[in-house]
Amino acid sequence: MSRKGLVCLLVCLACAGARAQMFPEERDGLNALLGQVESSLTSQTPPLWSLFSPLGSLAIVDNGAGRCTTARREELRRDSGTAEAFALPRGARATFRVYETARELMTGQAIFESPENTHWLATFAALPDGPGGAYRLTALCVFPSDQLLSPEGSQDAVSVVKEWERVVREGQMLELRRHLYPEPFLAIMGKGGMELFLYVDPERYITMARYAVEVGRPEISEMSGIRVHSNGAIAAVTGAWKAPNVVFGLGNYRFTALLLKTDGAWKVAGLFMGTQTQY
Amino acid sequence: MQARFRPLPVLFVLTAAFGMAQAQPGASSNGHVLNLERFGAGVPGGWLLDGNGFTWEPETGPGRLGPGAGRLHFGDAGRIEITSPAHRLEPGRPHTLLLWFRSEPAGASLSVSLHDNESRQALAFEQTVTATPEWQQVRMTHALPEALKDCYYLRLSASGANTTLWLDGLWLGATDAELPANWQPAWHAAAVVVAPDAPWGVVAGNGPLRYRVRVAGATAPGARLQTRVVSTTGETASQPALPLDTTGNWIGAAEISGDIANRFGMFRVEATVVDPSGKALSPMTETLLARAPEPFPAPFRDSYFGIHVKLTAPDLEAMARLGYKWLRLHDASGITKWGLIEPEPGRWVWHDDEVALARDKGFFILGMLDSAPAWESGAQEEGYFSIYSAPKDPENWRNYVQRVVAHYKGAIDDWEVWNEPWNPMGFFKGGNPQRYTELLEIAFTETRAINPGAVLVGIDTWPPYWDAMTLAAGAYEYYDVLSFHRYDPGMHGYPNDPIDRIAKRLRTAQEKYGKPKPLLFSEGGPDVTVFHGSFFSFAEPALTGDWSWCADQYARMYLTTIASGIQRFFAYSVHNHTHHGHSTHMMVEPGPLPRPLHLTAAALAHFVDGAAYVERLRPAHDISAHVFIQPHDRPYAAGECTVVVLHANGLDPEPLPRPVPGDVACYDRWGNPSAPPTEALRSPVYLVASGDAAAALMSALAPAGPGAQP
Repeated sequence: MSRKGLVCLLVCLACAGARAQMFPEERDGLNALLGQVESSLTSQTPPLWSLFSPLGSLAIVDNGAGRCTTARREELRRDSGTAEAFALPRGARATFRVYETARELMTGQAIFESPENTHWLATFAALPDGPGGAYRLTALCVFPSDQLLSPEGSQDAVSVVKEWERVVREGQMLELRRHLYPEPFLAIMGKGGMELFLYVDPERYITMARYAVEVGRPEISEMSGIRVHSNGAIAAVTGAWKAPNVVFGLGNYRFTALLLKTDGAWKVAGLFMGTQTQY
Repeated sequence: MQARFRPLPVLFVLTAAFGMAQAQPGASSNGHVLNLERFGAGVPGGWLLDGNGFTWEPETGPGRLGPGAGRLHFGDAGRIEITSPAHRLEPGRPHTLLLWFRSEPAGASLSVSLHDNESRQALAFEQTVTATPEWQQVRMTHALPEALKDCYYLRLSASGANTTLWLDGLWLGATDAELPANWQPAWHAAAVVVAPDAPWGVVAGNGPLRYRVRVAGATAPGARLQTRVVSTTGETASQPALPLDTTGNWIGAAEISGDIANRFGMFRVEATVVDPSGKALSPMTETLLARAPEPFPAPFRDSYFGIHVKLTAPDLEAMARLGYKWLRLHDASGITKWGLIEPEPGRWVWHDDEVALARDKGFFILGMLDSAPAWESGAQEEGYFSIYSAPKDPENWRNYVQRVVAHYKGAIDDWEVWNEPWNPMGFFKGGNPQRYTELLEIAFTETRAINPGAVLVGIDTWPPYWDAMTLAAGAYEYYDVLSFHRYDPGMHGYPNDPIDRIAKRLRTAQEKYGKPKPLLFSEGGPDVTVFHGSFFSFAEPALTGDWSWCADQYARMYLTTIASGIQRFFAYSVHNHTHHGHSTHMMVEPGPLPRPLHLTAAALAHFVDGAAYVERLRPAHDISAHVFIQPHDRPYAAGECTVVVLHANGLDPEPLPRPVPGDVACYDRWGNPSAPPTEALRSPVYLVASGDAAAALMSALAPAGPGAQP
């Protein structure tokens, strides 16, 4: 990665992280998880599957030249070949980390840097459902970040995410079906009261979202602070979304979307959304 | 029989062969995407039949396609509506619809239309025709417009007065855009329809799995009925063939036989009429049956299992066999809703027979103190929501409460005040937390005065603001049990899952005002059809979901209700059956016929109703073992026993750290005896033990090792 590119990425992540207000124990928990992820990716210890929650999991890696591997926890556990696809060079370190909190659903990004000065961007989502309340991954997406597209060059991925803003306002949720990655797929929606809705099937996600919008269609649906990182094959889009709903409350959400380019079209494989921290 | 067919010119047969699209899942061998072709036997399982003032018989005389047409006689004003299951079709591709019809005397009206399954809009093949004594054919070829999920259903409707309508030869399939004028598919000679004997096809315990069969149009010597049974345990079994006569109208009955018949779970009976060489003479049609383990004896007030169902004998009988013990009235039967039972001031409509029927079947009833007639509330709107405005005069509400509680005293002793009052745009227009609290206070005070033993259920929350604000308005004093609703297709049952969190939140919310009162999950479920699953072979996963997943999800929803200390859960609903594939909260197939999710809930009820929940053990961090003590004699144990419901917390199998002791009886999610599990799965399984075996089981399931702390 060029120095300028790396600086831009760091500034971008730092700006995102500046909004995050976390309890120290939350930050410590995520640091511990990232430490384990770093060890797992570089030395396969602990095994990557063991860092994922069984409630729902999504792992994505770009092995270069646009070759993506996707997996769920169970595939990582049963198939060593799949797990090996997620290996980073020994000695790679998470050099910069930024966390977002959407109540108990945590998201974040980290830059991994190898001793040879190559870089990867890791985007993750996590829940505190591990032993003793430890954080476990629900999603991990890793791709080389030395040749990121410019934000302007990634607007086609952003425009897919912006479809949510429109269809919720218009009550046309089924229009999102064509933007959803069929398998693996994972969406986690956290609402006030620390309650989660978790979907591993796009059809179920879209159906439930449709009915939620029918019960209480938001009059406002606005996204802001959208940031995108993409290498052309994978995109990670983060931002804020305001969509108040009679069932889901005030609707000030943070979101992270993971998109894969398939047959020339961006599709959302992971969507993680939760109400913004109020403390 | 075949000789009665008009021979098709070779050219047309070839055209048909080349013109038809590749057969779709569930499609008939002649390219027809549906399984109703000849109408003489009635409508197959999965089709929705509605109407009145008509009879339906097979025509045994010669018809346009030989014996086997459907003969529908309309009385003074008869009508019929037949709706197909939803099917995935290819938008943009030409499809052809064919249907033969005639009436005597002329004048019967027939309409056809193909609809988008999601929007229910008619998209293609819209035509209304008037029948004459001569056979005519509806014949249309359209390129299909896009549907929201590329799934469509066909609707046929007919009406007439003192006339007989013959229907025959329905065919819908992909073809070339231009077909020869006299192109016809290779029609089947016969039709078969199978239907269960038992209400909803559900038997309990050792009851026989009987089904009725009607075959029309089979006149060839040697024809027989070929039947295969598929079960939710993954088994398939051919059944003995039934020889048919040559009358063209064969009616019979059969019973599922062989080992497969002894299983608990669901069964799909697939039937085809074949000739002596085994060649199909009819499309394959199917029906669904179910065997539930023996339910805990009713009545049983402390049951965990509630449902919304119509108060009719077959529906109640089916629900009783599935182990449900409680009914919540609401939409399934609005017989206590003010807006429906006092249509004009002072004129009350009572439903004593329906209530008595439900009580006779062993059910307890959660009545609704709910709604207001438009004459009182001043509501202007029409339709379903016309009764859901807040009453204007609290004294009118008081009078209603007094009347209904007194009238049903002894039959209905549990009352919930208002359905979803948190929704001011729907169920409680003009209402707010303060107004609700006023109504709740009146309901509580009057109910206590009239029926001191009655239980008053209040709040009925979903969004947290509602319970917070009603409690702040003083509601705490005026209910015995606090209720909430939740629709959530997640795989529940893990520690601190969403329902457990709701229970904790509601207890915490009440602590500010006094000792937390019991909780009731008075309405909810896995949500709409895509979360229900279907055991029909033609079920489209994009519409009806994965039945195996849904079966696990539903049982685990009841399980987490119990584990979270909530009194019971009323699943919504089975009170109305629409066409197969329609996205609805109704967890039922047309017919009505069951869905697999009811059978896993029935197994859970079989094992844990009557038992006390003790604790959740976690033999490993991602495994839950819910421990119950069952004090009653049950089919699986005489005297007190320990029942453990074991499952993985998440979606993945998790190895058990220690083996299940050999003298523990193990059962699968349907209640069938099984080998001891070596891993916990998404599907709950049941482990039953008494005495020393129970102690050994507890040791085997005790938390062990790092990462297994509760």
